[in-house]
Amino acid sequence: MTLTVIWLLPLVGSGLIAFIPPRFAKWLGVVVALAALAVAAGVAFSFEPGYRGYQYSEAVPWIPQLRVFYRLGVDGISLWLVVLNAFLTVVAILATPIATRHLNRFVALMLAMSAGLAGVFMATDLVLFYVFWEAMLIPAYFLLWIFGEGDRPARAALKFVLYTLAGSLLMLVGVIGEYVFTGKQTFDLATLATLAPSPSIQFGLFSVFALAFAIKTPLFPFHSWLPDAYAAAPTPMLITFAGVMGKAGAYGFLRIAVPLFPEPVGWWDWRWVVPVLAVAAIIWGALMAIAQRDMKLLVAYSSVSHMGFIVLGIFSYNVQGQQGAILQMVNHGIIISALFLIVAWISDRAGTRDRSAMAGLAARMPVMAGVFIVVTLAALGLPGLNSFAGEFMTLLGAWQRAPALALFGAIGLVLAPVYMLRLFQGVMQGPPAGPVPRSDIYIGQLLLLAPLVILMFVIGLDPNALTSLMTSLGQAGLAR
Amino acid sequence: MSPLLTVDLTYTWSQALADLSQIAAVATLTGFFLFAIVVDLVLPKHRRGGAVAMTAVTGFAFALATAAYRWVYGQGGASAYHGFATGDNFALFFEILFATLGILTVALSHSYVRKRGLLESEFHILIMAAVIGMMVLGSATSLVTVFLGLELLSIALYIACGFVRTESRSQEAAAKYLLVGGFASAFVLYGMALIYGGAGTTVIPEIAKRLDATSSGNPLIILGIVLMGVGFAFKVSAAPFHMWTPDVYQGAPLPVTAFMSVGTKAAAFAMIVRVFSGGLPHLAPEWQALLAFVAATSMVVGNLMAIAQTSLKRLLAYSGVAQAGYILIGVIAGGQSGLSAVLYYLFVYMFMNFGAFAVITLLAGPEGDRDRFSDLEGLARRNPVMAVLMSVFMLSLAGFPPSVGFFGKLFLFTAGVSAGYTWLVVLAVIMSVVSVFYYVRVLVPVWTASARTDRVPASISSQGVLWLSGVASVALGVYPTTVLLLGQLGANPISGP
Repeated sequence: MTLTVIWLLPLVGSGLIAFIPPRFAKWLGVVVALAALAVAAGVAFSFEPGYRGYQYSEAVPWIPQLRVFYRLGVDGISLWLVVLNAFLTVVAILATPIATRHLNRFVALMLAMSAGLAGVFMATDLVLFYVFWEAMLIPAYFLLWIFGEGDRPARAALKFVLYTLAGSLLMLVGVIGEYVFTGKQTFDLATLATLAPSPSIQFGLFSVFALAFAIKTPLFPFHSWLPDAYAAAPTPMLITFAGVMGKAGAYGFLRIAVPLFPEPVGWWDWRWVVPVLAVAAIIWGALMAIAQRDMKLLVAYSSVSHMGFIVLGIFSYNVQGQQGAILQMVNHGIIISALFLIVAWISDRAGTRDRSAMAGLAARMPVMAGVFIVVTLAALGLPGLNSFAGEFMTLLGAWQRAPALALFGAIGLVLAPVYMLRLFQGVMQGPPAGPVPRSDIYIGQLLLLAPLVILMFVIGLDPNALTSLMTSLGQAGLAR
Repeated sequence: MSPLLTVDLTYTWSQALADLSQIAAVATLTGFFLFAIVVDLVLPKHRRGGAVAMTAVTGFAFALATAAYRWVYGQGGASAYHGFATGDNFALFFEILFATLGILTVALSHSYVRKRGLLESEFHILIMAAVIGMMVLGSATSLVTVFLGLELLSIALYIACGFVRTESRSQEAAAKYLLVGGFASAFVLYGMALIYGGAGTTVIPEIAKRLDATSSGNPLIILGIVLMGVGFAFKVSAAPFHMWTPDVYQGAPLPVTAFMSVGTKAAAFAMIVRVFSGGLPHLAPEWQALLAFVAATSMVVGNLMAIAQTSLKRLLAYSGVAQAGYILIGVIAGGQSGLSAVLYYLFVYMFMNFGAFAVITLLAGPEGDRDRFSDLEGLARRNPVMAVLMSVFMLSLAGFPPSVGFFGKLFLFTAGVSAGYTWLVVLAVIMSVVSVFYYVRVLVPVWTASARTDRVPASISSQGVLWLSGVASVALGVYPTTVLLLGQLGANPISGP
């Protein structure tokens, strides 16, 4: 029941909040999100490391005719994402400006999306996973469309939905294929991980699953929905959108694509194609980030690059790489949220998102500059901050798999300072571009960022606290 | 010794009663149908409409109750009237479906017919006649009764389509439907004649025994299958025989379109399953190939054509063409899993598609139907409940979980892949992505801010229809087990357990 609460609570809250007056919506939303976070944190604290199998499992027959079960469970992989999702939902709702039009609907949709994401991370039945995976698209679509920024949010929203659906509906064929071709007629992930069909069938099924996950992550060359969607998304939504939803794709790789298809070899060997694409994403995302003038798009492309590291780690097929990938999912969720928040606040004050149109803001917002440099350094992987350990582990794993992967992946580490520091320097340092009044970060905004920044230090100084719990696994087929 | 020619001299009262009990729901509804005609004759003019509507609803409710009672307490489906009809679970499933549909239709059309000043009692009586035809199709086990049901249903609907006598488009729809429907019936009849020629009987279970796999060498039998297949494809509005659908849907008054889009389709699928899956199991490879072609074309043509539509009725017409393609996958896959998926989908399709049409029906004004995209503008402000429900229907038709549309597709596709039709399922999935584009496009005017503030009034009964459809579209998806189980029991007489 505990896990059910984690996704059902936001969903019920969402239904309620949609119908209450907007002025109470934000605070009730925060309360609901905090309650979900409390439950998730409770699960995390009582979580047993080293345990083989899903913890807090629930299994109720749902569609007995097809042996579909309502199965939930967490293990060392999903636990972190469940907590991250609950945590970032709180941050996102707190970051919602009180002046948003139809605030109640906005908060309701945010909670619904968060509920769907929580379900994706906890589902251990393939059909249930798919249901959550698709259902979360509905609130995401309405959020992007109704509350989107820019000239044509409807277009960005539709592009996002069609892209994602193109992948995920094909994944439905994969889900059915797993049911039919393994010969056991089950959707249970833990069982399916022990039954591998023949390599050629694995190849076909892997292809449809990988396409869905690659689009969601997004992996090069399936990322072209991302700039439009991220540019259109309102900042609070971006926190869950970039911070958590992108992780759903990477999580899918780790939870389904890797353990269920140990040998997806047909016309080519997927085990080599995906990491190569990941490296391509690392480099391509970094290069595109360098080329951006729009700060929001710069951060968006940096996200493509960082997600590449995560996928690279997953497809290293060894402990370091996969642990690093999970760690990096959490890190990236924290960093990207902080970055999007800061960028949004700066552009609010400067009146533009064009980084070349502003300079020397540090003198006018010294505290903001201080926080910004910490987040910037975390994003480019400075040792002592959270991203370093994760990226290092993924590259270490990739090196063990094939040194070339790690070598080319490391180019991303070299390019990250280029775009991140250029962003920081261009915006904050140098002679002021114009007479901007002094407008530093508000105390409320600082308080909102404080937990994110503290986490950057904590995870950076003691990554073991997280990785030691990742030893618990619910599935065969993962590298341990 | 064909049963057509058998003269049974020992037909007793008890036998007559047993036969009648097999078609109890049809008989009940027919009784109410005749009563409604009498009511229309004897009551004063201003009270006729309401009384006939009440009679119709009562009749549907009694038919529903009869079918449900027989489902729970009946002794199963024995062959009645020398093998011409039966009251097995398959028939009962469709009787329940059509009776529900009848209630929904009368509830929805009541205020519409008044608003547009149409002949009220005749309208409801026609709907009753059409429902009787559909129920006959569900329980028919002879080619003769199949044709009888088909014609009863079609003739009632020809008239209903042209019910707005002052509107040329409605007249055009009726004429078109009559001509094309006549062709389709002729095709079906010709095919039946050839099958009769080959098998020497019109009783479907007998045909199944007499035509074995060796009959596939007989060109007349194959021609019979093809002709019947073409006629059936006309009736389910599957491409490439769908040309009539958009025009007829657009011209017919909206409640009739809503009724037709669900009822005719379900009845025609009942017919396909009875005749093909039940009557020609040994010739499955032949008709499966034919239906696979039809299914693939329907999905491609329906989904691609729907994108370009500017009329909501035409959009839903093409969407119906595409949906017919999805459902055909289940028929082709066959077996208990395939047929139960078909029955599940038909049952839930009633709610989501009828609901979508119900929303558009309520937009209609006294001068005519309003089915432009712009007519939906600002619905979120004009009637928030309808806006939410319309979103549910569209997302369900598009196949988003946790709505019924998703689970219907899941069951159909699972059966398809299990039966080895992976290519067809992959095609269906790709076309589903296309379908999301136009279903979501309907929602754009609904939720976009607009200056329009005129309310969209909805009578109590129409609201009931909307709520029932909306709740069913989600609840039967979150908890699909029961309807799927009913579908399995319903499919058993054809597929075997």
